Amino acid sequence: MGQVIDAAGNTAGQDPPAPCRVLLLEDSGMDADLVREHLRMIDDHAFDVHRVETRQAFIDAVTDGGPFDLILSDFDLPDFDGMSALAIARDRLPRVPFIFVSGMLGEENAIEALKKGATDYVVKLRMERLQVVVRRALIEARDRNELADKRAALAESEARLRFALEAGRLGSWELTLATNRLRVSSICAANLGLADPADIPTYERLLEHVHPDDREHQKTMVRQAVSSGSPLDMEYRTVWPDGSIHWVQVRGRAVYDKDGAPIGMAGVSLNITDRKKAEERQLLLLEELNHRVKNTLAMVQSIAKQTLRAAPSVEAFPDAFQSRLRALAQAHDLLTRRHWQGASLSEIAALTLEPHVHAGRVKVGGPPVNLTTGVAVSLHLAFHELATNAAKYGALTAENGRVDLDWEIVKPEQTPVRDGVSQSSGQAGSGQGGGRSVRDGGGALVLRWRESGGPPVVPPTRRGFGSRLIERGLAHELEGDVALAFETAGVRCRLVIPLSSRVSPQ
Amino acid sequence: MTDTDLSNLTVLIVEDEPLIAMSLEDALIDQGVACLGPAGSVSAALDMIEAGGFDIALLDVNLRGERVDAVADRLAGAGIPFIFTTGHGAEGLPDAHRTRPVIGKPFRDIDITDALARHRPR
Repeated sequence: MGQVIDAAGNTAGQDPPAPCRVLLLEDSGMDADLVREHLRMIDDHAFDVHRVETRQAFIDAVTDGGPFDLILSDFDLPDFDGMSALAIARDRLPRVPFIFVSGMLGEENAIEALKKGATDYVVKLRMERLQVVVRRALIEARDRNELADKRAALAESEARLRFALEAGRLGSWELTLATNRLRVSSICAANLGLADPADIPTYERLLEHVHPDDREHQKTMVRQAVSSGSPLDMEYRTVWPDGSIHWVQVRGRAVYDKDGAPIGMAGVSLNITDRKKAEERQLLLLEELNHRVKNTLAMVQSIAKQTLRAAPSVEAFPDAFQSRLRALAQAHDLLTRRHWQGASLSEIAALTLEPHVHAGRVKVGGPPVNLTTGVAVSLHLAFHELATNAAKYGALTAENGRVDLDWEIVKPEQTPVRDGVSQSSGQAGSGQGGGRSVRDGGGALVLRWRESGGPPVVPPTRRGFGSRLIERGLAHELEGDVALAFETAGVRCRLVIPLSSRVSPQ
Repeated sequence: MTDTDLSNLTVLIVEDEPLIAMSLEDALIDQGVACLGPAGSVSAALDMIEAGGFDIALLDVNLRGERVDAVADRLAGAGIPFIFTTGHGAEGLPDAHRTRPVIGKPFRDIDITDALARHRPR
């Protein structure tokens, strides 16, 4: 393999060590040369010496110069002293070894210097010691720096992990199997509704916070994870001190000693209550959707059967059936826009009658009334039947024919019994029924459909789907009184519906 | 089913959807069955049970968002047989009455008449 030569001409892979950068505080040029001389004798290191002579130059070098791998300092200087230099260096460059090189250094000074953080000292009379002292200081510094770097990296990694755990709302925990001692993070405690991790110092204390129905399962899963070595991953319910129930997911793994015996377990915990609630909501929604679809299919089936029954001919079936299906779909569209929270009576009336209102043929009016979804669908289907009949046989077939649909809210004592048309009651058929009657409730909605200006009305010989739906279905559904009259001057329909949570003024 | 015997039978219909109730009535009246109701709410159903006069009931499990447990309890207490009709699965049934016969919506007329013949009191 060929050698790679870099731009500086160094041979990659076997570079000589980078020169060791030395800060030398020495006012005497001769002594400085002596130091350089002795450094050169250290054969496995190269040295790059930066010499300063004054206090200010030293401070500048320590503050902005460097970086340095070693500081060598005289002890006695004209404007400065070695102990002050040491103090500055310890403050600014605590990791750089500091060695005194001095002509005279009494024992007391030496001890004081070492106490204050000097790495070593060499007296100029025994300058040959410098090689040994420097080499040892550099090796020790390197080891010390490596250790410090590792500590810093570990601390940084721990901080990152803690941040990730906190950002993910993950609690962490450790279990010692021999003692069942548990150490948990504050998030882990918070997942159980506890402010203080010290509240669950043991596995037994943790179990007290697990929902009774989930306790055995919890223990079994932990035991299994320990005996099999497979990861623990389970969900359980926890009962918080306030009695509320929350969901926790724990993941972990057993820890083994070098002989393979399990000694503990460690892992994370996560509050998954929101997720569980969303899952439950989704299940409910699916169930509700299923119910609604089945119910709608049953309604379509009913419409089909009854349309077929009432159709004068098989040919008349498709048109009548499709028109009713369309009406049902319209009602669903409106209710979906209202999030299935019901609809207003005027919206429901407009659904069928708006085209005729625009043409000036139909007048609709009344105070605001809220309807629940079931009532809204039934009334819509009833309006659809009335409007279809009017457009086919009634007032809307004639140029001057018109329809008035209006409603009002009446007090109980004002409940009308005029109009003189025969009434179907919500309690009809059985002659006894439950629910509210118009007269004992808190008022009623009175709704009138009146056609005029059309051709003379011929009463039908038998009741069709529309009549049945209005007289039987609607009367029952609304527990109200329904009067449908095929008068010669025009069809009239009057509904008296007791006010309730299903039919309420706004 | 050849042995469908629906003679002299009166059925209480508990159903909140008028279209479905009307369709049930049609099917039953065609078979010569007399119908009571429909009761569209729990309170209406309870009133009609109180008044009596029927042999068996068809019971929708949910009336305007209200569960029919109370109605089922009352019928069971009075020894009157009943058949659930539901758009939900069996899990929608009242817990105390899970062994009762169930007909899923939408149903065929024959499902209704068969079930009535099988479960009517003898």
